[in-house]
Order: sequence, then C-alpha cells, then structure tokens
Amino acid sequence: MGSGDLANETGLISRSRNGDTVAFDQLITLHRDRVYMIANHILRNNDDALDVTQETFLRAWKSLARFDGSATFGSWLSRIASNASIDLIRRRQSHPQTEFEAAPMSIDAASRTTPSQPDRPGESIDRAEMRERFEAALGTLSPEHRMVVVLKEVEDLSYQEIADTVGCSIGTVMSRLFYARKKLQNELRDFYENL
Amino acid sequence: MGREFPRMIRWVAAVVMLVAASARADGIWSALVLATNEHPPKPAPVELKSFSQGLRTVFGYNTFYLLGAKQKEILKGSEVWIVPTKQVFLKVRCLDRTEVDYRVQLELYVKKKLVVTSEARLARGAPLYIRGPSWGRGRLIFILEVR
Amino acid sequence: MKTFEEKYTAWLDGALEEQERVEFEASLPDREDALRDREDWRKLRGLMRESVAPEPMPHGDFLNSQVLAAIGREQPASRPARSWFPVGRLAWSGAFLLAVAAVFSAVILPGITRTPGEDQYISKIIAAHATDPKLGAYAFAAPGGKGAVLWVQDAGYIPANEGIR
Repeated sequence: MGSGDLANETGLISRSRNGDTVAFDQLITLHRDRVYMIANHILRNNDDALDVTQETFLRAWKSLARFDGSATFGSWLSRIASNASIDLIRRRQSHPQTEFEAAPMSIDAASRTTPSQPDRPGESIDRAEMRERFEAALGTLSPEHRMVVVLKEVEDLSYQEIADTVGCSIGTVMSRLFYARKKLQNELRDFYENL
Repeated sequence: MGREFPRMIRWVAAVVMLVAASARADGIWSALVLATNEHPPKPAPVELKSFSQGLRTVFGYNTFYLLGAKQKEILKGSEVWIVPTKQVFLKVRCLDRTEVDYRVQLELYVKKKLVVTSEARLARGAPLYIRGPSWGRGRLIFILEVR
Repeated sequence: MKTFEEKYTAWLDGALEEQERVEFEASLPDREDALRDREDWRKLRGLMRESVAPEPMPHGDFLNSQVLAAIGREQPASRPARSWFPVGRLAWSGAFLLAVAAVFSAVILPGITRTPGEDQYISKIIAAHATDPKLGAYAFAAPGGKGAVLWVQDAGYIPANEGIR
C-alpha cells in the first residue's frame, strides 16, 4: 500500500471510529478479499469463510477504539479473522464429528463431503487430483499449523507478518512451520516422489 | 329458446370455470437440498438439474443431494409444513393466490425454534431459494417453486 | 537462543546469516540427507502454490451490505427526550389508525387490481425478519432475474451425526 493509500486508510479508520459507516464500508472493500482468504485457508470452506469474514468486520467495528496502530490495519484484521476462524472450529469440535462426516441418511453411504474449493472449470484431472491430495494433507494439520504453513508457503508472508496475523511469537511461528512441513512431507511423499 | 338460454348460460359458465381452474397455479413444489463441495463433483439428481446452476452461482457449492421433495396445492388461508424433518422445517401459509402466483408467509424453524419469518410472492417457474442451517460440512437449502 | 526447529526452518527458507548457516550445517548429523530434505520441500512448496490458492471471494458488495446492516441492528435505537403525546391521546390515535387500516384492507385493497406487467412471473421476498438479533435475513434476486433468494445468516449448525429425517 503506497503512502497515499496509507494516509487515506488512516483517515477512513479515524472516521469509522467516530461512527461513520460510509468510511467503514470503504475499509471493508479494501480488506475483504484478504480477510476472506485467511478464513478460507483455515476453514477450507467457502460458506464458513464468508460467515467468518462478516464476523471479522463486525468484531473490528466494535473494537476500533482498541486499534492502536502498532500493527497495520490489515494485520489487525487478519488476526481477528484467524481468531474468529479458530473459534468456529472449536465450536464445531464441541459436537463429536469425524474429519469426514457420516453421510446423510438418505444419501449413498459411500459418498463423502470434503471441505474446500468448488470445482474449477477447465481444471485437468491431474491438477484436480493434486489439489485434492494437498487439501487432504492440510486437513491432517491443526488449524494453527495449517494457518502458518499456508500463510508462509502460499501467501508468502514473512515470519513477522505471520506472527502478527496469528498472534504469537516469531519463534512459535517457526517451530509450527517446522512441524507442519515435516507432516506434509510425510503425508505427500508418495505423491511428489513420483512426479 | 326459453329453456335453452339458461342451459346455454350454465354451459358457458361451466366452461369458463373449467378454463379458469386449469389456468390456476397447480401447487407449490418444494424440496430440501443438501449442498456440498466434493472432488470430483457429483451430477445433480434429475429433479434438481434445472436448479443446479442457480444453486452453484448463489451459494458456491458444486454437489447437490435431494433429501426430500413434494408437490402440494395450498389453498388460501391454509397452512402446510413443507418437507418436514426432525431438525429443520418450513411452514408455509397461503395468504392469497391467483392464476399465476401465490403470496405466502414463510416460517423457518431450526431445532424447533423459529428463526425467520418472511412474506414472499412465488410466481410460476420462478424458484425461491432459502438458505438454511449448515449440516456437517454442507448447507441445507429449501427450494420452492410454483408449478 | 534459537531452538533446533527455529534454526532448521530459517535454514530451509534461506533466512540464516552466512556464519549461522555454516555453523548450522556443520552441526547436522547428516548434511546430505538434510540437503535432500530441503530440496524435497522446495519441490513440494512449488506444487502447493499451484494447487492451494483459494478462489476470490464471491458477492463482495453483498458482504458489505450484510455487515453494515448488522451494525445498524446492533446500534441502540434513539429515544425521544420527552413524549409529545399524552398516553390517552396516543391510544385514541392508534385506535383511529387501526380503524382506517381495517377499512382500507377490507374495502379498498381488494379493488386494486394488480398491474399486469413484467413482474407477473417473478418471485420475490416482500419482507423478511429474523427472530434473533444475532441472525440476519436478506433478500435478493436469483440469477436469471425471475427467482429470489432468502439468505438467512447464521441459521445454525446441525452436526452431521444428528439425523435430518
């Protein structure tokens, strides 16, 4: 974000703090894609990610007074999004369920629901299979580990940016990365060694 | 001529009523759908084929299962439960109906608790999609259509 | 002092200073194995970047309207400083308005014929109300322009192990 954009954003934040919803509307537009991306990486479900994106901005609106500028507004929102995503996962985990849900009663028991992105038109079978393998492997990680590895490997954030987003120390980010990478390598060894 | 005229009037009236009755909306078709994302996506059942593009565009899922469906004529002032299930059901009350549409009051219940009330107009061939609760990793969606 | 995992992660990412890198590689029990491991991870990372990128968010402007509507619902309604009408007058005014509405509904409304036109074959939501302030109910036209969508936000969650039918 350039210095002009930053000054503009600072003005929008200030106006939003004073209850200006028009200004807040612009902040939502500026940051919604990134918030959605983070929620989608953690939750791997478009619908849940939309819910969490909305929840994130609502929480942000209510706690604007607490934003002190020590991190960027985008990082602050990312932190809210990751917390909201993990809250959702924990709420779901209070109901017993397996990683792949039992099939609904009137549906073929062999079918499974898997989280993640909808079918992409034009995607080759190989690419679709690759995506499926990665999604399954990422599913074996805890949300906290999944988050750091995706933010690092897919979104190419720095350790500091990941730490700001997740709300932990750089050391914790790095040790989670260590574990997550090892786990993914084990899960996918047969896949990438044959490519 | 004296007796034929009233008979002719009655005959014409019967025909008019028959035509009017056949032109009336036949009823409301309703379905409960489970929408999920699967790899690869499964083809939609035949009953949902005409809705799958709309469902995909609006809700972002790629696979649809039909959990239940029924066609029901609903009279003005009457109330019906649409595709009742244990956990989620839709109550429909007909406020008014014409040849081409219904004006209805909808009540969506989740786990026996009233969640949303709504008034809607349902026109022939123009479906109404109602986003319900999530179930497992999917989403329950009601579809109502006048047929 | 960095742990082994932190050093390994930084080494794999090429984030160690030159001196640190030399010392770290010297400390590895099997340097060749570690180098192969690093190469494997870099290959995997490339594949992951191709495969895992999420789709852009759909319905962006709709999200904005939902958030702002939720903010509007949560803000306390303003109350007038004092009442302009005494209670008695208010009650009579209400009764009068109800009577007018009843006459209108019974006599005038049925006489109003619906104007035929392009909305004859369109479904639409006339009104929607969520019973819980934490929920939301929104309406918009379905693709194609004829159908309608009643979007219930936060309608709840039913675990998969609870049967539906």
